[in-house]
Amino acid sequence: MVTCPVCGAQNDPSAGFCDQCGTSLQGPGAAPAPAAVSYAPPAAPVYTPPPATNFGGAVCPQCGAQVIPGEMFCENCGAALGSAAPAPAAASYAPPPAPAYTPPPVAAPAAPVYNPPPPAATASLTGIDGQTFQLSGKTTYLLGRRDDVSGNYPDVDTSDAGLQAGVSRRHAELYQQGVQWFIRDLNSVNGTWVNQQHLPTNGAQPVNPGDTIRLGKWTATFRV
Amino acid sequence: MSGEVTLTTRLNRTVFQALPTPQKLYVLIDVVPTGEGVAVQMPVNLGLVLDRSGSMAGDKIRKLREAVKLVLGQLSPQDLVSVVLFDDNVDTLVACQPVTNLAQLHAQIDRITDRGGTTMSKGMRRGLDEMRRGLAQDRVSRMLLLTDGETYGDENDCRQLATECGQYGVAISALGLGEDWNMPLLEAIAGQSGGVADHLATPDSILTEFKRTVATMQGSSVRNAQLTLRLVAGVTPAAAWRVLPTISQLSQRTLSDRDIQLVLGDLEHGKGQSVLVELVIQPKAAGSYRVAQADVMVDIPAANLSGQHVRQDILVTLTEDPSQVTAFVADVMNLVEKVSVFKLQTRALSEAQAGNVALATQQLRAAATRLLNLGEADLAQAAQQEANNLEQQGQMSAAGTKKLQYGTRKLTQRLDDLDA
Repeated sequence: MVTCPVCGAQNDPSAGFCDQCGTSLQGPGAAPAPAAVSYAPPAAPVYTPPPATNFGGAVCPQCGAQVIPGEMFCENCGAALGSAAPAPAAASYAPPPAPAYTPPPVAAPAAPVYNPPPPAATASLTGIDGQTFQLSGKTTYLLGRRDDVSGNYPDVDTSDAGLQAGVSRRHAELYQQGVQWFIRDLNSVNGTWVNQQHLPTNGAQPVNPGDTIRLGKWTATFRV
Repeated sequence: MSGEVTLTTRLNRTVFQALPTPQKLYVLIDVVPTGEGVAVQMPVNLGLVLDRSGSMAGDKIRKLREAVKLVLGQLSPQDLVSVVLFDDNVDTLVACQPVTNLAQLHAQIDRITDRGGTTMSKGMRRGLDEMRRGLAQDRVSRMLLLTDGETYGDENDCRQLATECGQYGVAISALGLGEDWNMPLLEAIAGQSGGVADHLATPDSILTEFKRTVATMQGSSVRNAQLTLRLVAGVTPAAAWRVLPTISQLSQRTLSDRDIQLVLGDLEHGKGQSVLVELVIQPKAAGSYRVAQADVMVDIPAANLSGQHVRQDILVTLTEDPSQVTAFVADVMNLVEKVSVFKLQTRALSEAQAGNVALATQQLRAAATRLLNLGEADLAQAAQQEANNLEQQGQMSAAGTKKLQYGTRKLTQRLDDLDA
């Protein structure tokens, strides 16, 4: 018999994991697993911030019911809880919880033909609700509706306008070629307009300062 | 067992963050007969118990005749069929017999006409009596019970007969046509016999549903499947759902502290069943652990095997380093979302029945949001409409209730099932 190093239960010698507590019984350190793994020392400081606010008494941001970290949808009201644990209702989504999703620095588009001004002139989009999205530091910006379940975090997130605005999760993208800005529809359900002109599906069109951009029913003004 | 049944288990992430609090994780378990030894067409014992009451007049009864003929065409001489018609009375149109003389059977089917009221228990009694003559270990028995209305005063008899059917191994597919049938009764009949209930919105769907039921029976080469999840200490089950072929909650009674026992029943070759289990794990340090072992026990009549086991460890990896936490596994999350919709509308229905209109309305609206997310515009609209009905009139419509109940159940249905 093999004795589990963690809980002391007796296990069959062929057992890969302890029947009682699930600890691995194979490999060099049939010792408590964590010790063996390399990232033990620096770990402690790393994960202090999120748990402090979120865990132990995590609640649904919509209805306030208790939720278990890792839960995807509120048992009470059905709200999507996204990744590990929901942020308190007040902290309205500015930093998406999962660092894993921060989009790559978009190195690729820089290389091709266009000899671009890499420090792209800062542009912005101001929604009719007054919310302003700064567009700087990248060459392509995704416009759409956040979806925690599929891990979709657009640069211009229209979630605050609600589903009735008819904005798709990946609705359109704004990008720069040289000094000219363009918008491209990304096969959106409810369409993209520039100054009341409807873009063909997946079509692109130049946008200039002062232009009105409409995604579904969500309207915003483009500025440079 | 030489790989006749494939058991796979997946979590909603491959690497989770080690948290100082308990956390929930989702396990998807697929049990699919894949081996050559189980790719056989099973002989079936099909009992059709059909409502021919006055309300079936017209298109319904025409489509029904057509569907019965279609089903007969799917059967072969190794199969048994019986057809029982009920209104206030009951007639055995086709006594339990092998499907050898199609022309003669077709002539009998043409005699199905509408008349009278509805006394369903009489039909079920006669149907079961016919089917009992053809029961056999290596034959898949199923009663197809079709009705479009309320039965009169014999609901309890129907429930008892359903239990009796279950004891004989005859699962009932209880099909309600249109909007005026008794949903709780058909649900009970299906549940107590180990079968399923379904809503047929239009007479056209009779054909599809009959055809699908027979195909499922013929493909059920693996029988009496039972799934056991043995949990390690510090892991507790929160809920278990069948997600494929359709969504249903698996009874809470099956959940105990250390294991979960789920009866899966027949498994169709190449399709099988999938189960989604929600587990809560206590805080643990980083590392890889077994949280459970899945064990499936099956009978394979065609190979003369019974009590065959296949097992799989379910491992979870925890890390202290947030950057090593992996993204969600998309197809698992998709099923989690679909289950959440089913759960929401189920709870909304029971809250509405209990008179909690505000909560039910909120849940229906949330269900509508999730349905939109899933691209189910039609069902989303139905949920929204029922939320409005609740708010304005204090109750939901019968048609909308049925549409939601059976529509959300089929959210996971694969397209190739729809009109195959």
